[in-house]
Amino acid sequence: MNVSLLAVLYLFIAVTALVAVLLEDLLSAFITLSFTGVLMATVFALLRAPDVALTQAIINSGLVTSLLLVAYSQTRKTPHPPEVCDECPSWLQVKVPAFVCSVLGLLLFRGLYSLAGERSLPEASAHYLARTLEETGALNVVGALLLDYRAFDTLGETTVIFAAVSGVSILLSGGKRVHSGHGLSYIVKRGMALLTPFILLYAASILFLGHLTPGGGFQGGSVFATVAILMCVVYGTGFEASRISSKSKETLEAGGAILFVLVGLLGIAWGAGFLSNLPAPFSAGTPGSLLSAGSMPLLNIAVGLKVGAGLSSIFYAMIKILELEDE
Amino acid sequence: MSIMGFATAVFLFCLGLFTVLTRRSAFKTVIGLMLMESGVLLLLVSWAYIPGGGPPILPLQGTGVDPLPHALTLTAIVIGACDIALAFAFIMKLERFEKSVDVDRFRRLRG
Repeated sequence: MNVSLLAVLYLFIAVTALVAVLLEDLLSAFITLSFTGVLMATVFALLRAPDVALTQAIINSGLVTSLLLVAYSQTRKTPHPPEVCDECPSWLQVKVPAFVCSVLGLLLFRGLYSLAGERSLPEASAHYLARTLEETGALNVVGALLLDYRAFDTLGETTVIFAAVSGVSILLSGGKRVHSGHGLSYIVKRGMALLTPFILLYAASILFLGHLTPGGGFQGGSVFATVAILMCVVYGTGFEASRISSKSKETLEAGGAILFVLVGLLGIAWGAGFLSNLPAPFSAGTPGSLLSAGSMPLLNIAVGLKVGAGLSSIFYAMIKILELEDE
Repeated sequence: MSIMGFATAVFLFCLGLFTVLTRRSAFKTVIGLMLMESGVLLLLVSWAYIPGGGPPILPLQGTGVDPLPHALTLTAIVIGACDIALAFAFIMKLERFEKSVDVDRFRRLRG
């Protein structure tokens, strides 16, 4: 482990975060913030967390930034307010919050200071590392944790995604999708057409090999959503919607949820409990092969459908009003 | 070693809180929330690191790092992205009704 490299990265994270807060121009602040996200993904990779690094790079610095830019362009006609209130005294506006945050930071750091130092694996984690192959047949321990040991959590998480998609759709309903914009130039469109199969292949490999290598349903589904967003940017806003209607996205998302629950119910039917993997009639297969680890590939597909369809629905729900206002 | 990670995580969290408390633009509030979230993620992952540990992919050579915080962090990232999308939807809706993204001017929300 290269400590000095890590120290430089931490310093850069702190500086870019500070710059993102201090910049008056929101667009620059968003770009700086996505740079912070990329740096954090690098730090996660250095800290031996490949799954987290992949998720951070795809979702936090890719998808969230694109959502930031859409929301910003939606509201670009509204004048943005000055940074701080001019009527209130400045000590109330800046100094008191700064004092509160510094004291909180010092207290948090004092508490965390005692946690630093030599640390050994907790019993549960040592069990996961030692027995995952035997108990689930998977090679990716984080994937096995998400889809086998703690699969119920993941079901709850997909419910949160569903709630967020519903919330965004309800809040932004009533917008009309108009075929506005013809996309970028011919060369970019051809280039995108050449690239799309490879991006889809990348997404599929992340998705289907989630039980063997870092990755899984969340990351693969997010790359699928990225393809939808790229289509929108390159071919104009109407293109992707004319190919895949929002109804079919809803169907895909609901299909993912139903697949997840059905796999869970199969465990109950077998008398082994909700979402149980190997005790239910799922075969562990040969470790390291594509069809192994019991129900994990199925659950990865379910999560991938849910996340991919959900995130691209969120993006298209946000695009809609933009076009209404442009008319 | 991991104390640097803790320090950066605490800094990000407090910087995010400061942004939420002081800035008037609703977008800056969301940036603050994202920074607070990043702080928590960084704290979990740097806590999970064990010197000399390999990534939690089998077969392991020697010991591995703690996989449990990684799973929790992964969940937190996806849920955080959904939260932020919902926050943007709220901002866009409020902007349409109030013609402003200034949180001080959203007076109809006051009880």
